[in-house]
Amino acid sequence: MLKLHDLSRIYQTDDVETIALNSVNIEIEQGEFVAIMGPSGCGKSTLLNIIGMLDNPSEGKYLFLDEEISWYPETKLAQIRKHNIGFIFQSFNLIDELSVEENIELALLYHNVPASERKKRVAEVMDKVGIAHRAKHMPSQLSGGQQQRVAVARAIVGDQKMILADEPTGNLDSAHGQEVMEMLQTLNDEGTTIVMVTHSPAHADYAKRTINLFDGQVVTENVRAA
Amino acid sequence: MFQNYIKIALRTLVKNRVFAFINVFGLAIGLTVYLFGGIIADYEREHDIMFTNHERTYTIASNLSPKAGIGVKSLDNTYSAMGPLIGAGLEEIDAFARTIRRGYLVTSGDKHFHQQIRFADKELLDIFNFEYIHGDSSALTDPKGFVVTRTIAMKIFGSLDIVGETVFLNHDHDLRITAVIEDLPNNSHFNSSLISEPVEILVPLVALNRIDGWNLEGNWTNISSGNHVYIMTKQPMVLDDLNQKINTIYDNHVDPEMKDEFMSSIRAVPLKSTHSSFWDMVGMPVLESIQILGILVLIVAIVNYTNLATAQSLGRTREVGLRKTLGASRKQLIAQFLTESLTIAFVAMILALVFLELVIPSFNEATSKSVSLDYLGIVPWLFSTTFVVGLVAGAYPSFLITRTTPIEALTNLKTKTGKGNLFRSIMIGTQFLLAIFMLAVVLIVYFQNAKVRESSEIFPKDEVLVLKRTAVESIREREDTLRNELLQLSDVTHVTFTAQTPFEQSNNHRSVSLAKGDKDNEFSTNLNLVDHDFIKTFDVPLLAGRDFSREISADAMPATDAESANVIVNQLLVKNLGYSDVNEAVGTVFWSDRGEDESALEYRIVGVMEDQNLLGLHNKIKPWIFVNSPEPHRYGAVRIRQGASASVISEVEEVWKRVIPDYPIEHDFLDGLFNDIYAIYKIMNGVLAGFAALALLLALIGLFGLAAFMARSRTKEIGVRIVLGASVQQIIRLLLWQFSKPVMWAVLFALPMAYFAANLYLQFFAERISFQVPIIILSGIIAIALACLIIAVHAIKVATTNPVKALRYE
Repeated sequence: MLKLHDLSRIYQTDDVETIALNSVNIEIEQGEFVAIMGPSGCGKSTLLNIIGMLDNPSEGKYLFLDEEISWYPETKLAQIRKHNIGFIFQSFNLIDELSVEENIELALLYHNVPASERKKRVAEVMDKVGIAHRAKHMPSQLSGGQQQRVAVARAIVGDQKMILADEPTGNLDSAHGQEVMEMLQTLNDEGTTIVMVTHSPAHADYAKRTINLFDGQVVTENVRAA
Repeated sequence: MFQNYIKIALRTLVKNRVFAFINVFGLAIGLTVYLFGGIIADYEREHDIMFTNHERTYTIASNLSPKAGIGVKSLDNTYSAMGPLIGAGLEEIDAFARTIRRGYLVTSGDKHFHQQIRFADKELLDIFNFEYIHGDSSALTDPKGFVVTRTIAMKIFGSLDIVGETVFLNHDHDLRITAVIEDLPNNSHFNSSLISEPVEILVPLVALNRIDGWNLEGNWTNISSGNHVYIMTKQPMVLDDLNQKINTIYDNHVDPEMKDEFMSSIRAVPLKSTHSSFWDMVGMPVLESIQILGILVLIVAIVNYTNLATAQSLGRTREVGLRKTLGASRKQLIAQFLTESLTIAFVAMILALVFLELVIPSFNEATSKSVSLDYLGIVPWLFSTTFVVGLVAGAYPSFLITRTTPIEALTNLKTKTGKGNLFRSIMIGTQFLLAIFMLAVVLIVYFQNAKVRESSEIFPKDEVLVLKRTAVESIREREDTLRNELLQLSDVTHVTFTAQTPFEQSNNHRSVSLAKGDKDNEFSTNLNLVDHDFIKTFDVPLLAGRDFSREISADAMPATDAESANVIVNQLLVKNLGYSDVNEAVGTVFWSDRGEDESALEYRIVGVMEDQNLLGLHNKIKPWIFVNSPEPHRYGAVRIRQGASASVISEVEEVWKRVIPDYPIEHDFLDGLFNDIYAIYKIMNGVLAGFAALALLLALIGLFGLAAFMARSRTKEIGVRIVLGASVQQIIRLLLWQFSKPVMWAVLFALPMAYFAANLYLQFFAERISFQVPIIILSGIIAIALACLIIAVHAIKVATTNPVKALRYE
């Protein structure tokens, strides 16, 4: 699915140079469930942003579906991104002014999907994540777990092949966290590639592979025994 | 997609109610003022279009030579002699007509009415298709014809069916009603003049010829505002072309000296602009100013929106980041934010139309205009305005906010308060620049008006009762009786009869010189025809010589064609004659031409009066001659003792009724005459003040919103500062400083601008205030003080909040 080769990301400010990622080599296959772990500031989020094409690497190569994209301009990346990648954030990032179904529909608005088709697909994913009964509610009326389910629905409504989750359970209690993890597990079982940053070893266990980062470098990779 | 934008736009509005209200309300005020200015200016520029021939009808105006020296650059009419000359000389002419305005006593049966009458060439009714209730457009072919409007018919006869009835002018001249027409519309120049009364009665010019010997060929001597020469061409003509042709005719007939000295050229004014040519005449770009001020207020409102929207948009970076993550292109996001500002502009426009519908009726009532919102006609204008305002207002916020990258937006890693700070400061500066500018101009206009009023106090305005319409030979014969009877009243101290009262904007010119016929050293002077008591009645101080006296028979000019006259002149005239000491001049003579008549007239100076501004208002002090003349005087002036009883007016009325029973009395205090003209200045100042107040209000509302927002977004920083030991005063100073800087810059830039604009206005006046700079600085101080007050409200609130609360926030 994607391949990072000797990839580095250096933040340059006026007089300080911070190396966030240092010659990282990672390969992720289609249908994998990968967890990225490591202490604060080790480069987890930077890595996820680059994989999600929200940020460009300073050096190295990024092959996505066998296409070298590290030098692509923002507009081209946006095209690839919106058809292939869904995002889930720790803080949910739902739009407060839109209802549940409108938030989910938002992802399709930028895909040129006709209105009737949008309605159908939004209804489908709401069923899938079990939020259909809250369709007309506003985010502020939902619990954290429910909000994150909406975010998951939004991430998959465009038939994205890969989901990037940045600490998706970080703001949830354990019961709701569990719920979200199980949902991701189901999605993975159905063939969606999932890359997740997490602090929780328990939740990392859902992944088939865990990549540990430290000071911008990959230190270990553990593959869970099948 | 579009639906989604609108939905978000409306929900964002509802969520931030206070800011939304400020935005929409501010923009609506700006739009109201702008639209109102535009509608008024259009209304003023488009008069008389109800007349079928308006496109090929013109009035003839004239451009004055710089030497003319009567205080205006052009006149809205020309010599009546030009009518027949253009009628004969212009190939494209269809018809011409002149109107001459005169006041007469109109009598029907035993009822008397003082009325303004327009004497007109009979072709006037061919040019203008009036609505006839009775009679038709041949009504002025009858040399004794008399055409009245509905109002006058009802006033004099109490009926409309009056064709054939007889009326008398000044008791002696019989005329008969030949037509009754509908009242003329408010938006016709016949009815809308600021300076002359509406047209209500039309009488053929041949009647004026019979009654008063008025030369039907017209004259080259008399021009009075409110009279017109109308021409109707066969087809509408290119104005330059027409002007060239009529000026060829003018040049062929005018005395070259007069062309050089007084009227340098003439020009055709399309009928629809005839009404607004009054403003060209006084040389004040009033309509343009109204439009420009409207635009300035709108700019302040737009800046308000931009500013608040920019500040608010910082709170929406997360939404933008998310949309970008979901694949929105920058173009789509800009479209979204512009949709929002367009929505707001649209809502504001609807509100503005509501405001206009509320304001216009009272405006019409106050000004007796009939302005209306012609929706069909202005829809394109409304739409384009909404569109432009929406786009301009939304441009910067949408540019700024869509620039954020998704990572910045979603993680809030970067500092967010820094963005747009400079821009916001510039915007606040711009708003205050305009507000201070307008405030300064208003204050200057106000103080200059006060100066005009103050200089008018040299005359005892509320102790002089002016008797009007005395220019009738039969009243002249009874002047002495009337005077003597009036002087019997205990509260009356002096009575005088004069051709001109102070403040009356009329110029009766004479060319005079020290030596007889010395054309090279001639200068122009104003002339007033008075009697023995003018100086006493109006309290004019004499510097040398003596007042007119009844004891000295030579003081009273025996007849208008006499060879010499004793005169009182003012100091300026003496100086122009070349005397350095006023006493030297007493007893000497100087000479005057007599207009068309070649004979010269000898003036002997018996007294020299102080230079007083007889015309008052904006006029320069001019050289004056006062002749004790036997001609009918147009006014009587009764000086009333200070602290006279209120019944004095009815006592004067009784005396008049006894002495002159055949003419009803018409009187007004000198103060009232002054106010008639001064009202124009006052209205202008009022309008300006309205604009400035709105601009300042908008700027303050904007600042209020922005200060609230910035105080909120700096809560955390302020919390930290307080924890670290900052005092309340320090915090307030911090916030005040953030907003005061741009306001100070605004003052700096506004000062020279206001100075420049003020001088443009002041140039119009002969006596000017000299303290513009302090006034301008004062307006800056007012603006800064108000701004500080507004900011302080928020600053105090934030600074006194418990820091723990502030830090927990966010």
